[in-house]
Amino acid sequence: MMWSWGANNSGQLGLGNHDDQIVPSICVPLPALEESDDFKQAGGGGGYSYILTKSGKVLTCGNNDRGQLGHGDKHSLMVFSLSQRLTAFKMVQIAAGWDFMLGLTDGGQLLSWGSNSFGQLGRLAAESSNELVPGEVSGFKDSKIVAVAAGLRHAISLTESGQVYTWGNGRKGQLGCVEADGNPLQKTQNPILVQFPQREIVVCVTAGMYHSGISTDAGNIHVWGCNKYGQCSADPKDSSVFLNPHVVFLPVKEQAEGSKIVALTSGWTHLIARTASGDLYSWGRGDLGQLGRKCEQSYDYKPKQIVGLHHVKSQFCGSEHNLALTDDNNVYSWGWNEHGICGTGDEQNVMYPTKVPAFIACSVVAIGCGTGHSFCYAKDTH
Amino acid sequence: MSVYHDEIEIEDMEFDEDTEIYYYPCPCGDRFEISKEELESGEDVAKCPSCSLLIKVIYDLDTFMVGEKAVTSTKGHAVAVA
Repeated sequence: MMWSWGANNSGQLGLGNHDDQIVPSICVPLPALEESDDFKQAGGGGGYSYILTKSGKVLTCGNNDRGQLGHGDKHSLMVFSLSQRLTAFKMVQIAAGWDFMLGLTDGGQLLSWGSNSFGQLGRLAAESSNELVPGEVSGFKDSKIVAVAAGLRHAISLTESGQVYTWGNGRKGQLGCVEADGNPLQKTQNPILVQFPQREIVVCVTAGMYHSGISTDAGNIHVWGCNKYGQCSADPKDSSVFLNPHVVFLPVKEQAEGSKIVALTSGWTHLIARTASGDLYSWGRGDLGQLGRKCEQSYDYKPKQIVGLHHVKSQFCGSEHNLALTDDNNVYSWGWNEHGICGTGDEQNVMYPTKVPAFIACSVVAIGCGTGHSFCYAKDTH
Repeated sequence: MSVYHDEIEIEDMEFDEDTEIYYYPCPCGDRFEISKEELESGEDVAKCPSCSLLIKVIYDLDTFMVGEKAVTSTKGHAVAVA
């Protein structure tokens, strides 16, 4: 069963209404999903949501004012429905920006649709600012894409040979591209190759409001773009932006077993890295509990471990909240909690990881975050 | 802690020419909004209709009144950017 909670101003929870939910609620049954029980991924952007099935189908709902739902129109929906314009493709990964989406096919082809106001579709759109029909993002040196992430108005992708490309809005340096005059490239619809100081084998890409990040097979992390809240892991008082990749050092014991970074996720202004053993480290903005740990100021540019939370197997960030799923099948949430985004049953910000009560003793398959809303797919519930 | 969730430059807001309203994404999924008229009168707080968060709009009132604004219109000026 698919559960959703949090903000629902545009019907993004898939409940058939516009009411916020401070505790998880069961989505309107989804025939395409329930019949084959093949849920893979769920998430969303500003007021809209998607579900990806293991067979590669995409279901969407919520706000559709820029054609971001992939239905070929601009009609908003309150119940998940198969994206009509995507049925010809077998999708393996979806990334949701504020009002645009990217879909990666099983053949390594990258498609985009929705708003293109900032060039975030990575291609020339037929209409100036919106594109209702999914089309291919091209311009990569080698054609196959293996991973993709969407920021607020920009995107980042990883090719099979390990090259990292960015496109879209670049005003805060998030594209990692500096122009001849020393200023960041402001905007582009043509994917830009990001240069790293050393040859790195990139395995993970992520994007926030105005920053981008990667992690490598050696467990190294680089972040660039806006550093207003220390996203690039440097003191914002010294530098508010990083136009090139900046190394993030984590306080992990180098040789310790399981201490290698294997995943990097990002909210709008904070980041969370996960080690092989399932520990989490956070940095960036923390005034609403985003960091899930002690944070003296409104931000902390120094990555620190989220204490008391171990054996995490997946973590996701919304704009200002987070979800984590542990090996023992518990769902934890923390961060901004207006609209009940954390699912705790109230609207008090959650400063430290807290078990979402609805899923205690449930068989949880996967979790996901939209901008201000959350998802959980669980097989049996009490 | 500031009462504003963020301070946003007007260049980062999207302008809807039909409603003459400037918008900016709110973390809840809705959008902060402030009308051109409000900005012209010196009001600089954009509100989200769905939640309690507020942002302060950073703009130069004198320049704004002259209409020298560099905004991204939702109606689009499909500029091919080099």
